[in-house]
Formats: sequence, structure tokens, C-alpha cells
Amino acid sequence: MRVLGGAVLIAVALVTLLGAVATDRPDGLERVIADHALAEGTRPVAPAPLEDYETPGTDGHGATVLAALGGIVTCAAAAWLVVRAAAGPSPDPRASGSDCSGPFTPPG
Amino acid sequence: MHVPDHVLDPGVSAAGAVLAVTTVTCCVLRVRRSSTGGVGRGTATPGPHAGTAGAVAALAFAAQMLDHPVAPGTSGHVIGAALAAVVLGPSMGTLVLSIVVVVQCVAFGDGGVTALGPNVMLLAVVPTVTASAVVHLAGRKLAGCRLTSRSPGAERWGPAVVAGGAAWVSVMAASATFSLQFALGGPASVPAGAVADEMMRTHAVAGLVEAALTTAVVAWLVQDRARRRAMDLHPAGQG
Repeated sequence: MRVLGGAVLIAVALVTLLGAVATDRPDGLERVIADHALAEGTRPVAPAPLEDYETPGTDGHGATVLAALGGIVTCAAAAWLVVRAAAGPSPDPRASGSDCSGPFTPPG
Repeated sequence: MHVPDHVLDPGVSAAGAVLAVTTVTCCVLRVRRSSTGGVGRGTATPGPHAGTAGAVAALAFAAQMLDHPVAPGTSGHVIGAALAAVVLGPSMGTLVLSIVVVVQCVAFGDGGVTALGPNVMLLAVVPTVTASAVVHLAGRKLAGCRLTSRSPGAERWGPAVVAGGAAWVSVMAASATFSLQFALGGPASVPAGAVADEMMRTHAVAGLVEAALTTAVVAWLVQDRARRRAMDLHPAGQG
């Protein structure tokens, strides 16, 4: 759980610190869609509660950070729950010397 | 890189949804089987913690929020597929990034509800599986090189550079996936070739940023794990 808590803190810090300087230009796919007017005049089929990563009733960077906090915690909790349900309880990392099944193992 | 509603026709959106549901279900089954030792080896192999999966989800969500400039008037953002593939493996990595895409769509309106299936395919399934394949293939080569090189730098940066390369390839694969989806289900009035060309050119640059960040994070992870392992072997006070 230490890994999870640390990652959530890092994620919130990233959004808080770098979110303020992130560009609001459209990303590559949004640019293509705008250039070719592919979604012009259309509306989303279902409205989202935190549309455009902004918390209703708040303004500015704080609104984005609040929304991000909700998203980060929701994603972390959902992934934890789904993987926990699918894989069962966590293995003891010390039993294998590792808490990760990634393909790269550092030298022992 | 999220497809909004009304860009792809209903047939392609539905096909994307069927593919996405099938793939994610397979991922859940593989995660379950690997946790009980059913995949290949016949023995229980401890996989990543659910906590590690949650950590990757949190970081991927945050990273995907942060747009960086790519070219005049255009930005890009990290997908995090290669990092997910390296840390969690292809099945759990795909599952975790799919969860992130669903949260982005339902809670934040990033990507259309009708395009959720295609978005899961292009932002979770294809890049993670592609990155895993690159890492797997290159990792085998790297393992051969390690036998002849004992350089600590090679031990640390070799995997990191491979992961960085996989990150770039994963971004290009995601771009190619959208291009294919658009060719199959986009409006006929817009030439699919022009869209593909624009997507690939823009994301070739965005992929470099993702590659650099992935390289740095994996280098840190490799060093950290080596340090932890050394501490396990030689606890403080015991020489």
C-alpha cells in the first residue's frame, strides 16, 4: 500500500505543479479532428460530471487540480479493486524477492 | 488522443467495443490464471501487487492530463503503455490502462461514450501489447548481451533504453490504430491517407517525449530494485 500511496501523492504533485504550465493546445488527434471539422456542431452523447477536467463551481487551476484528485483516486481505487478481485490477495514480495513481474530483472 | 462521439460510424464503434470487451475479459482471465500459476509455467509466480496496479493507474491518469507542446498549435500527452507493460506485464497493464480510459470517458468526458471501445483499443490494448512485444523481443537480445557485459551502466540503461524504444513504438501503434479506425469508419469526405499522415507525423514527435520519460522512469526503477535487493542480501549492521 506504500507504493500506492506514494504514487497517488506523486500523481497529485505532478498535476498540481505541471498542470499550471501544461499547454492547452489540442493534442494530435484533436487537431486532426478540428482541421477536418469532424465533430463540428456535435455534442457529447452523455454529459460527464467533471467535463474538461474541471470541478463545477470552482475556477482556474484549482478546479483542475480538484478534478484531477478525484480522477487519480478513482483510477487507483478501481485498478486496485479490479486486480485484487481478479488476482486475489497480494503475494508476499519478500517470498520472491520481487513485487513485480515485469520483464527486466536487475542484477542480484 | 481520445476519439469523441460522432467521428467514427456506429459499426466501427460497435466492433471496437466488442473487441475491447473481449480483450479486457481475456486480460482479467490471464491475470487470474497467472496469480494461480496457470499460465505456462505450472507454478505459482507472484505477480505485481494490486497496489502496484493502482499506482500505475494513478500515474497514467495524471500523465495523460498533462499536455506538452509538440509542434505549433499541437500538443501531445504521455500514454504510459510501455511503463505499464514493463511494470505490470501485458495483461495487467492493458487492464489498468483500460480502467483509466473508462474513468476519463465516464467522469471527465474525455473521449465519447459511443467511442469508448475504439478508445480502449487505441489507448490501452494496442499500445500496451505492442510495447510488451517490443520489450519481450528486445529483452531477449539484451539478456544475451548481459552474459558478455558486466558493466553496471549497461545493466541499468539497457532495459531503460529498450523500454523507451517500446514507448515510442507504442505511441506510433496507437496512432496507426486510430488511422485504421478512421479509414474503416470515418466520414468518406475526409481522405483517410491525409489523416493517417497527420497522425503519424505529430505522434512521431510526441512519442519521443514519451520515450524519454519512460527511459528515465525505468532506469530509476531498475536502480531502485537493485538497491532494494542489495539491502535484502546485506541488511544494515550485518556487513
